[in-house]
This record gives sequence, structure tokens and C-alpha cells, in this order.
Amino acid sequence: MIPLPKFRYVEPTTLAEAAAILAAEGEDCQILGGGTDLVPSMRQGIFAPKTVLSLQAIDGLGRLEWSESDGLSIGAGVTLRRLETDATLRKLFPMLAQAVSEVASPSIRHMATLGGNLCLDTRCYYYNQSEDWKACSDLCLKVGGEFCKASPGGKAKKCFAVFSADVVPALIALKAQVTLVAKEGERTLDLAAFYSGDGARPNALKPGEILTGVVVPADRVGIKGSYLKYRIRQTIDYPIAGVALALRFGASGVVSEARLVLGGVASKPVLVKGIAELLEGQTLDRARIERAAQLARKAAIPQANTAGQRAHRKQMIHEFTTRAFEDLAREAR
Amino acid sequence: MNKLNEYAVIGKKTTKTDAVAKVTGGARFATDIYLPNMLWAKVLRSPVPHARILRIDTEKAKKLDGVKAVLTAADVPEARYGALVLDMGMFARGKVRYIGEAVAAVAAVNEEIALAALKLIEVAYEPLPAVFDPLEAIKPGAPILHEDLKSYKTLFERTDKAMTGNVNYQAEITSGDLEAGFAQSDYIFEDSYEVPKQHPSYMEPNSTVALVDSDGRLVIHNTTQRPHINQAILSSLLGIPIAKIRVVPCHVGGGFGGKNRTLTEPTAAALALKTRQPVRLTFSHEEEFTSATTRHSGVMVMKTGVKKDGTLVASDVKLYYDCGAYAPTPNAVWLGAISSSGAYRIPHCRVEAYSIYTNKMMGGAFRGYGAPQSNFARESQMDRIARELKIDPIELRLKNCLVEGDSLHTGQKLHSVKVKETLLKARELSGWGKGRVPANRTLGVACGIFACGGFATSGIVRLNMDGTATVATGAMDMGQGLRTVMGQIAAEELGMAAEDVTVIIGDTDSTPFDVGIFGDRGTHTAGMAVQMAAQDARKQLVEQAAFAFKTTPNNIVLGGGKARLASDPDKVLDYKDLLGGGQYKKGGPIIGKASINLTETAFDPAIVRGAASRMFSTYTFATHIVEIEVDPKTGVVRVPKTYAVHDCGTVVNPDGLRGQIIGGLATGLGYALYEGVAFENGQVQNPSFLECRPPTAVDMPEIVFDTVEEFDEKGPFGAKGVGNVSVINMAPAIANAVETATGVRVTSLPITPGKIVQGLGQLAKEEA
Amino acid sequence: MTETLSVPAKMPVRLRVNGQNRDLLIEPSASLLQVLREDLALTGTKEVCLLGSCGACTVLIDGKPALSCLVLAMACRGKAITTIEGLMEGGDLHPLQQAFIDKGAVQCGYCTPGMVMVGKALLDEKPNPTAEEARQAIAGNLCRCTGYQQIVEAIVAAPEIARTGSAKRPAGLMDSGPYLMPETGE
Repeated sequence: MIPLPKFRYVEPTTLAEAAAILAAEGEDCQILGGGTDLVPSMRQGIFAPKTVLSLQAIDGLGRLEWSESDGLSIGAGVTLRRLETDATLRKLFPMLAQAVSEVASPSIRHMATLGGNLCLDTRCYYYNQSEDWKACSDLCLKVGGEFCKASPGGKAKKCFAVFSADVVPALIALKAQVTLVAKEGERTLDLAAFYSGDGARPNALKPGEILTGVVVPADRVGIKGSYLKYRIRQTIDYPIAGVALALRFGASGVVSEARLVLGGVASKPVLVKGIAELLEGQTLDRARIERAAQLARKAAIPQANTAGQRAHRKQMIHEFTTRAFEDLAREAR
Repeated sequence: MNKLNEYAVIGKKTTKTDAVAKVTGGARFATDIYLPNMLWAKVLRSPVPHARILRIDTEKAKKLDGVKAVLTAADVPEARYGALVLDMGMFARGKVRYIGEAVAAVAAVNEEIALAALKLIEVAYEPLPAVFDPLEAIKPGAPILHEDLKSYKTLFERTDKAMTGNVNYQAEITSGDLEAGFAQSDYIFEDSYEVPKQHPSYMEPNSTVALVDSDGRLVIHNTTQRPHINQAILSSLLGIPIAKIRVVPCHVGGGFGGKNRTLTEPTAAALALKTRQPVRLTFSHEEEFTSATTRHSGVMVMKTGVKKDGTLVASDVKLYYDCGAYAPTPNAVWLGAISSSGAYRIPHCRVEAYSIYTNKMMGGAFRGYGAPQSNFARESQMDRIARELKIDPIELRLKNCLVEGDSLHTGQKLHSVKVKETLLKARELSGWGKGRVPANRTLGVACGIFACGGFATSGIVRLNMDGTATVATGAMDMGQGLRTVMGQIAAEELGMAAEDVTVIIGDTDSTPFDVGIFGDRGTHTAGMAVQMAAQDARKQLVEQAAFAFKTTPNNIVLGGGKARLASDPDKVLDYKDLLGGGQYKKGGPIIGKASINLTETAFDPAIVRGAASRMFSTYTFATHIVEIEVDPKTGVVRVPKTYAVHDCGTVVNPDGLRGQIIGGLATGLGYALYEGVAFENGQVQNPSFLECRPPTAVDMPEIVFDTVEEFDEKGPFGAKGVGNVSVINMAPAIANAVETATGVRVTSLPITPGKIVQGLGQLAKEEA
Repeated sequence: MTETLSVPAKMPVRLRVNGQNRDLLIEPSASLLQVLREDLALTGTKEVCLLGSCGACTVLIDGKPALSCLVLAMACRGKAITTIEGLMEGGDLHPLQQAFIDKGAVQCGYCTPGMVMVGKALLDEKPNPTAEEARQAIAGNLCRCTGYQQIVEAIVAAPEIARTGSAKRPAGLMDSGPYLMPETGE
């Protein structure tokens, strides 16, 4: 069996302990959730940390709590399987349950954690390969090369590896907040702001920080949502285009809130700009839905670094956006 | 013709012999062997598609603690091997020709050290121009992969175009008068089709443990479809007599043609001989996708002449199959040529089939063996003809399909031809043309032919003194259930219960020669030898009974483990009484044997040039009808239901047959919609199941399957094969259904949503 | 080079595998799959893709399916691990194992242990699963031989075998052939 790189394994029982270890080890330490993303990457030699810090023994990271005042609080250690099957979550935020149920395969969802999905590394044909594979040609930007080989023309100085987490677009559509803890303290930010758009360093996690969980605000209850995912097979595969739409309808079908987030078509989840301006205070009609779909299509910047034709993936975004709106409009009636 | 009711074991539910071992985790595969002092081998592979090797320095690697041996081409005999073209050595010699080619190998005390040692081997390469497209590779001035090609030994009759430039194997079939045929045609259709490489995706990686035993013999534990050929190849590569080599395969974790190959054995053997320690070489998942073999990619150009009424008159086919840097099995090209006229009667035919070198991973055998490519072209074009001529696609096929007594374009006269019946039954099952299909679903049809059985095999049946039997066949069970089926065949012939027969497979010390299990040879050809050996044993048993009853052999009836007098059925002797007491039996122990070669008739050289085989025993046929849903906006295709009707002769093992057919359809579905090895500058871009995407349980359609009554007089108890033909129809059937549903004809595989949407004109130009 | 090859300290660890405590010395970076196969000689659990994309290495951890190639053995302390070798009870096949045999769900057998384990987890959660539930449960487990149909049928048929107590007691389990030794370490 191709061995994993040698590392030390630590399993702290408190967050403070974890933060202290992380502060001491810095970038030589990788945080382990369910292992479904990190372990294959270590196997391919993408990461060779000196220390692997498992979060599994830390109390509180397994919380899944709803309160009408504080909303839905989900710890980083909650498995996707638990999210998918939780009755409260399914009732209050069916779109979120839907998105979770589309991740990978059932066995993976038993293992994978929310924190892991939120911190999912960006993916690319040139990046998710063994060292031997990469040695056959110039290295890509993300592993120390000069250019992003997946970028148009292969000459970009920015990494275009693709963001492929299913749960994140749904959470951003629901205005989730994410909490990051370090030795120095904790900070909370909009989940949308957590993602950088730089494939090489896809999120705002600083050395020493641990993502401890997200909160979906209580006022998100009543939002209608839809998550649609495009992948080649009907299971296992990462999304190569995904749409999460959250709408709130006021009296007589007027849209009072609208958020549209794309996955699998850029180096971060794309919160489509102009959707609220286009739709809030309006009723949904074909023309407006088409305008929204065009905005989504334009916001999608798929690259040739995963399955599917780029143009087709843009088309999928257009079509899925249309369908998501139509589905929710039908539901609202 | 159906004799099923007469049989006691054939056609009856019979538990698979290896099932208990496999459901309990007890089944030992080659990957499960850990021996004392066993070394781990790793292979250094070429990082460049085409280059001259200037220098290899292994000194640093040899000095690493724990490394026991490092081998390169310089350390092994300069011998080459291959099925038709002997073009490949154990290691690259002088040149590398693809990314992933073996350059050196290390044996070390553990895997980590072996991997570390690879990094210490220094190789200096001088890059050479490379060629990745078979059509580019046959142009004048293309980079040449094998400069000394003409001097290579071959095992087929070379045509003028074979073994020249980048063409290794080539075959031509000419029947009738092509020009006259096209002159008689009212319409001529000319189309080009393209298919990618498909990986066999057996679950178990290639793996060998090699050791030298205390007799000084080389012993190989491996995963293979052809132990006896492994033995012969090891003999020729290493210069060891065959009798000094023992190949003992383990359970095979899937083969599908991909393990009709000798990849890990020579390297492990050479390292074991060098170190005199057991050596294990197991391919990594990535090596499976870069350095094993795949279905050939290729381009098929098909020109067909048709009468107004749909009668096929003339066909001119050119097959350009990309075999990669070496041609371990260009036989697939030959089988592609045979299947390229489809299951049809076409009086005037020409086929030119080429196996072409490119600087890519090797093409080899994979379930369907050359036919999925050419049948995709033939059956796609048949639907185009039907559409243009406004003839129902099934009617067009019925009008032209082969019937009993017809000859193929190769000149081979056919028997046991029930393709028409498969078409009719599939039509009936699917409700074709009856408007029964839900509004969002569309039907698509394809039928096909595949050559079944042949080549040399043998069987031995020993009757034990307690009335049981021990059967030996050199044929392998890759999981398809050959061992069970051989037992059924022997039991039926001997009048015993299936559980009273034990079957030994594979071990070259205790089984007689078989050429390998491929091309529907298992049940049919190995089964034939086992049946004939059992008949031989049965004849001796009858004589023994006649002696005991003091009667003539024709007065003896065998069955249920007993011999009776036909004239007085109350007179009964158990087999154990005939055979036992039996160390003293007159004439000694009973051993039945059979040695056969079912491909002994050569093709007519006026029709076929460059044949890779003599005439096959028989042919199998099948019709598949898919029921698909296409989303016209997204191009996403789902296949909720498939109807499969097979002409497979007598059904020997119903569970096994069903598993074979549905499994074949799954591989066909993957070929149609998902799979395909992608290359960039000769490098495999998607070297994993994650990116190459074999179908999952939730991608599979509901399967409605049936067989047509048939008895092939050349097969054991009338049986034919089924493993290959089950693969070859899904891609064209789905492509045909897609065109019916959307108007878009997809002529390349896989049939991706992007291609469909692009065909519908929905992709913005600047984005495409 | 020498630095990367230096053997890091092995850690003592107690794993509970198939109901037995196993005390081992393992490298912290060892996957559960590696420890099962190479330290405990439980080779029924198969190594295929090491990427979590095939399901062949599925075991149960605290009753839930887990891909053992993605799990660190160190992370399994205090958890109950069940492998294909641990399914039989009192020498009888588990009803699901019997169902795989009866339904012809076994061909090459390389995916079978993983398939049986996800099937077992499903049956523990839903004692009478539908064919659709069975199909969904095995979605992440690849099989190239069967086309999955007979595997689905086996999972659906298992409860009836349990009810009728018709799982058989196999005569023996050891495969004949080359010997296998647990790794004793350097």
C-alpha cells in the first residue's frame, strides 16, 4: 500500500488545547475531520504535515442545535450523514439537507464532517495527482510552479482550481456565519467572505485557526430554497456546476429576499451579484428569471480542470438557475 | 431443440464454488499474499512520451539500505513478447515510447524503501518528437515509434501495410465486388466515428508474487486470465524451460481482458531470481491507469451502399485503432474487423483494419474485444440509414440480419444464428412502436455479433474410487463462474451431482494447457474439452459397468451416481462400487482426457488477408433496446430501463448468465455515457476511478432480459458464450435513442450532455 | 533522503476488531486499512483506489460504514471495528452473506466484502429495506462484474433468510493456496 507521509497524530480534547498545538505547529499541522479530503491528498503527497490534529475528541464540535433566538448552530464535527437525516434541519432548511445529501456517496457522508466540507480544498486535474504524475511536466502554480495550467492559455499567474463543496453554496444562500477559533481568540464572519477566490489559498483560514462551526440565522426560517447539482454520475462525483437559490416571498408572490450562489464553476462559491437588485420587490416572471439566469451564467467561470465542457457547464448554470426559480415560484403559489 | 428438460445439472441453479470464500473474506487474492522474507517491488516509469535513453544510473539506489536488487533492460535478456507482434520487452531498451513505460525496477524490504530507491535512479532522456493521434501517426513523416519494426517477429501473415511505419498489425477483408455494389446502391452513406480508450476497471490491481522454490523452480502467484501463456512468456523472456516454471493463480478480482496480459509477472520473476527471495509487485491504482492496458481508442470510417427498400448492398470500412506504444493484443483489431459488418448480410464488403502505434498507454483486450468500437459505428449508421429511408430501425435490421446458413463477409459460413429472433423478442418485450413508453422516454435499438470460442485447450477428468470426480482445466475463473460451470458440465456428462465434482483450475502443475480465457472461450471452448474428457471417462465407466454386470456396454445406463442395466433397471451399482474396491479395478484408474483446437479452418486467402486467427467456432448475437430520458435543455441522459435478448445457446448456469449479461450492460453503459481515458500530450489526465467513472449502482437501468431458444451443436450441451456481446450494443443503442429524442447524432463516445446540447445549438459560441 | 526514511516512533494502540481487543504497535500515519491487512492479516478488506472512490475497503466503525483507506488507525481507539471476517456468528454465515451466495451476487469477489459491509449497515438501520434503499446504500461501492442487480436482490432477501434461519454453516473458510503471514514488523 502506498504509505501516507509520516506524521505525528494528536487528538486534543478541548478547543483550547487544539488551538495551542496549532499555534505552536503553524503550517506544519493539518486538521483532520472525517479525513475524506485530507487523507487522499496526503496519500498523493499534496500535503506532508509533521502533525495531524484530529478534532474528533473535542466536545462541542458535534453540536447540532436549533433555537428560535440563535438559529441553527452546527459544529464542525457533525457528520454530513447526521445533517442529512436530522429531522429539524430537514424541516427548517430542506435545501441544506438536499445539498448535503448530494455530497459524494453514502459511505463518505457517514465519515465526512461539515467542517471538512467547508474547508474542502479546491480541485484540479493538474493538482489532484501523485508526485510521479506531476513530475511528467511543469508544476502547476498551486504546487509551486509558475503558471496555472488550467487557466485559459495556461499562462495565468493566478490559480483557477475549482471549488467543489456542495454544502457551502446552500449555506451561503442561507446567510450562514462561520466561526474561526485561534489561540488568540475567535472571529465570526459571513461564510461568503470566508472564501478568497484564489484557488491556491481558497479560504481565509489563517495559520493557527480552526473552523469550529456555522450558524444559520433564525430569521432564515421560511426561506424557500433549492439546490441543484450537476455531476457526471448520479453519485460519488464532485459537482461540476451547482446552484443554490434562496428566496423569500412576501404578500401576493412578491420576492422579498433573493440570494443565488453557484458552486463548481469558479475557485470559490460565487454569490451572484445583482440578483437582489433585480428581484426584490418584484414578482417572478419569465423575463426576470431569464435575466437572473443570464447573470448567473456570466458569473460562472468554469475552467478546463475538471469533467465537462466549459461552455456546457455555463449552460447548466443557466438552466439550473431557471429551474430553481421556477420550482420555488411553483412552491410559493 | 431445447433439451433443457432432459438435463439434471445443466440449466439448474448451482451454487458458485467460490462464493463462501468470497463472502467471508477468506478468498485469497494475489494482493493478499504476505510471505516470510518477501520483498516489495516498485517500477520506475517513463515521465516522457518519447525519448532516447542516454544513460541510467542505478548506483545510488542500489546503495540504499534495504534495497536488494535494481534491474533495468541491461540486466535482463533481450527478448520481446506479444500476442501477434513481438514488440515489448520487460523494460524500455534504448528508448521510451510512452509515459508510464517501465524503465527500471527495485526490490526492497518494504514499499517505502522501494519507492525511495526509485527516486535515486537517474535517467537521462533525449526527447524525441511524439505522436498521439493514430491518423497523424500514419501520415508520411510522422515520428516513428519502432524503427526496427520490420525485423520484429510476428505470428500472423503480414500484409503489405503491416509492420511498416507506425502500423503493426493490419487485416483486409474483401468479399464480392465493392465497386459493383456501390453502383447498385440507391444511396450511399459515409460517416466517421470516434471512440476513446476505456479502462477495464477490474477492481483488483495487477499483482504477482514470484519466488524460487527449493527445487529451483520459479513459482508465480498472480492474477491472470491465462496461466499457461504466462508460463510460456516467462520461459521465453527469462530463458527458463517451461517445466521449471509453475504458475499458480489466485482468485482473480476481475479481468475482462485486462488480465489476458503478462505485466507484473516478468518483473517480479526477474527480481525473485536475482534476490532468491519472494518478491511481490502490485500495481498502484495510478499505474493501472497509466501502465496497464485499455480498450483501443480509434476512428472508424464507414461507407455503406443501400437499396431504396433498405437492403444493404455494399460496405467499405476503415478501422484505425490506436494500440498505443506497444501492441500486446492487436487481435482486437481483427475482431473489430469481423464485427464491423454487424449482424448483417452485405454481399459486397471491404474492411481495412489497422493497429497503429502512438506514444500513449497500450491498447489491449477488454470485454467486447474490438467490437464495441466497430459496432458503435455500424449500429449508429444503421439508424441513420433507417431515418433517411424512413424505415423502422428494427424493420431495417430484420430485413438485413444474418440467418442460419448465411456467410459472414469473411467467407465463414454460419450456424446457430438467432439474431432475428433476438430482434423480434426485444421488440415485443419493449413494446417498440406500440406507444407504451412514457412520453418523456425514447427507445433506441442496436444488435450485434461476436465471435465465440476457439483455439487450443484441454481437459482431464479423473474418477475417484468413491464415485466422485476431479476435473482439471487450464482455463481460469476470473469470477465469471467458470469453475462452477465446468463442474456442471462434467457432472451432467458423468451422471453425477454437481457437488460430487471438484474442479481444479489454473495451476500449471496440475492442469493441462489452455490458451487463456477470452473471446467467450470459457463455457464454450474450455467447456467443450471438459465435456469431451468426461465423455472419455464415461465411456470407460460404462465398460467397467458392462464388465461388472457381465453385459455389453450398450446395455448400461448411467445417472444419479449409479449404473443400471437397461434391460433390467432394478440391477443397480453405485459408481463407488464400480470404481472402488477399486484400487484393484480392471484396467486401472479411469482418466478421461481431451485435447482440442476449435479454430482449425483457415480463412480463404482470396477474401481475408492478415487474419489474426483461423475461423471461430461459432458466433453469438444479441439485441438490446434502451429506454432513455434526455433532458433537452441540459443534455443529461438517463437510462431507466434496458431490454436485453441474447442468443447464447443453452443456458448452463442461470444466475451466472444473468450476472454476465447485466455486468456487460454496465460496462457498455459506462462506455456510452461516462468513461474514457483522457490524454494531454500523451499523459493520462484522469488516472483513477474517481475521474474515469465506472457506472455505479444508481446509474444502472432496470434490466429486462431474456434468451432465445437455441442449441449450438458445436458447444458443450449446446452452449455459447455471452460475456462479450453483452457489452457492444449499449453505446449505439443510446446514441440512436438520443437522436430519436433530440435530433442530435453523437458520433463520438462518450455521449456527453455537452455534445448533445452543442448539437442542439444551445451553447453560446464564444463559450464553446 | 535518510531523514525521510528514518522510522518514526511507533505508538502502542488498542483496537477493538471483530469483538476482540488487539494490542498493536503502529505508526501514527498508518491507515486503518493498512493495519487491518498488514498487521492483523485481515485481508478480506480490500485495497483498491485509496481515494474513497470505490468502497472496496469498507468496514463498520461503531456500526457505521467507513472507508478504511481514509481512516487513521489511531483515530479508531475506543471504537468497535467490524470487518468482513467478523460477520459470522457461531460458525454460521450472516444472513446477508448467505443471501449473496443464494442470489448469485458474487462474481470476482473483490468488491464483495465492501458490498456486504454497507449492506449490513443498512440492514441494521432498516431491517426490511426496499430495493431502492439497497441500491442507494451501495451507491459508493463500485462493482465491474455484476451490474449490481443481484447484489441489490441479495440485500433485500437477507431479512427472509434471517427470519427462517436458513443461513448455512460452511464446512471451512480457509482458502487453499499460498500461505499468508501477518506482518511482524521490522
